[in-house]
Amino acid sequence: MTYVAAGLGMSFNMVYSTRLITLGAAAFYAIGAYSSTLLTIKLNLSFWLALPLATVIAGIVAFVVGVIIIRTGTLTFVIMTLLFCLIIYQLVGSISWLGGWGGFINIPRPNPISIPYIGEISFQSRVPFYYLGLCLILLVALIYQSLYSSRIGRAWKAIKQSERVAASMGINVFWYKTLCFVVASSASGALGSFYAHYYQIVIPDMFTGFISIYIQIYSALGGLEYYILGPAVGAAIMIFVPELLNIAQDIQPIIFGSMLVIIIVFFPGGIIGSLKKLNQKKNRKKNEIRRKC
Amino acid sequence: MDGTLLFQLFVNGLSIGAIYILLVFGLQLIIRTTGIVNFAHGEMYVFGAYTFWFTYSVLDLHLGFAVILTVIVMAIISGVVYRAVFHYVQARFKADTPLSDKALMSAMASIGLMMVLSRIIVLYFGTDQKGIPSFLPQVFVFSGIRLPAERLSIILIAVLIAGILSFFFFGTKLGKAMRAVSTDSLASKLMGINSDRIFIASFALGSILAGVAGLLIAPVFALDPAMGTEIIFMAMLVMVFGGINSYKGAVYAGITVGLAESFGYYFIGIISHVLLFVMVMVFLIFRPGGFFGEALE
Repeated sequence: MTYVAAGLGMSFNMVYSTRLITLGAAAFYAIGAYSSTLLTIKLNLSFWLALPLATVIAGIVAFVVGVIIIRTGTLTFVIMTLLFCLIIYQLVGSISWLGGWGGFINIPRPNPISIPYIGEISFQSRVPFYYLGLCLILLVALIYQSLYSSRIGRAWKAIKQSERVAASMGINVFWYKTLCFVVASSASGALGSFYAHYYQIVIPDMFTGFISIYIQIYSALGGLEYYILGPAVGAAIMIFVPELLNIAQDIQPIIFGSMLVIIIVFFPGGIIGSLKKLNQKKNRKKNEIRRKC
Repeated sequence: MDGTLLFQLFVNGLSIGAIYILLVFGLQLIIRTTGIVNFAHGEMYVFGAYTFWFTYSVLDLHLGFAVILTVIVMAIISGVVYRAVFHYVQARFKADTPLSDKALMSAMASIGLMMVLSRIIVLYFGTDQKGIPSFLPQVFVFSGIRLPAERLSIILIAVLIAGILSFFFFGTKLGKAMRAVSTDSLASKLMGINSDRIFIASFALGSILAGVAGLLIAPVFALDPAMGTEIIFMAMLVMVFGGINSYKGAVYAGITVGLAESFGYYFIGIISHVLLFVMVMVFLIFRPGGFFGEALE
């Protein structure tokens, strides 16, 4: 679960890297999970084929939605992505062909694969899934890192600094934003597919808009400016700490919500950003002392 | 299918639309004047409804007194919320920063606030639904058409409030100052307007509008704590549909969405929400800024 959360958080930060905030992560996560489930149950495809197909489907949906709502401006984008989440939630719930409110159970686990030197891996227990998730998240992180360090990533950075300046430098702001949204959403789709086969059930209640909000909290906690490490740190903390402290379900939203407010308002850099700032301050003090001496 | 049913659906749609319009007015007022996107607006609506329930139904106060008390409580709650959270968001930005930076940050912060407030409501009032005895139980009957007085009163009061608001914005000093700040907060600061005070006043006014919307809906539907998150998304849809910086657009979009919801829910059930969303999406292809708005940067 931490992997999935971290990956979704990475997608959030990726979209934020073009100064857009997406609250639609849960929607694409749901699209990935449902399309993978339908492909394996109704068409009897194997998981290894369904995962990339689910990714592609989520990407296509993201493209169609993105082309429409990115043009409408930053604020509308936030609202429409959140609404899209709720609509997907209602859609999968109210159409019986898509499982209805009961969802699907007994989603097949991935077929065993044989890797040279290691032997055959069957996915009946949780341990191989752990490594599969690790591989998936590392792959996502790798793709993101290579995108950030390429021409595309530099264009995103320019857009974040100032859209007008970026446009005057010959960057097609609209298409770069769409690309960002599509890549981030298809990664969410892949993670959704993984999640569905891991838990072997999908129900609409797994994909409410609250998932998107929690993902936003993970990203904000880790640090919005640290694209890959930030969400990983944030998700790890947010998933382990409540379990360790055994916080009651009743007041969890209050704590998480106030945490989000405090982080956004007072520590916009998140944990990593704040630590870095602290470090800088220490260094500056050291330097001052040295100068005085 | 007869005409009377259609007419009743029409009146129901108009009354829902009027509630949306009040909510969207509040949202737009806050966005345009302070630059804050308030996702916690729906919780203000719930607070309004519950305060009215508490004063009118539990404390058994007189109707007018309960309404006034609700408005005062809304002003206090919104003032506290603004001072506790959005004041610091505001302080982070200079007066001339573009709207979208502030909007993004406040959107994220207010989503956290929404979670906190909705949970507080659940913890404090419980999850069970609460009903308010209707204060206008009469039903007008015109040649077979039954019109509940409270639905009509919602429409009338919304029209009245719109009139009062337009007088407030164009006729009073505070309203003029709010318009000045929403046009250019730096310039209005130079003209001697205390923009901090205007920010908090417009935030409070927006929240009071939400509270009044909650107060009006309270006798019609049963109160439950989840109604805030439900309605805020529809209100946001209405706002996007009508154009974020256009009050006129909000009126048209509110009526359209209210009617579409009323008829759609009756004829095709819950899937009508999906169709409504698709409709707005298709509309946004042709007019990215909504009915009367321009696309914000």
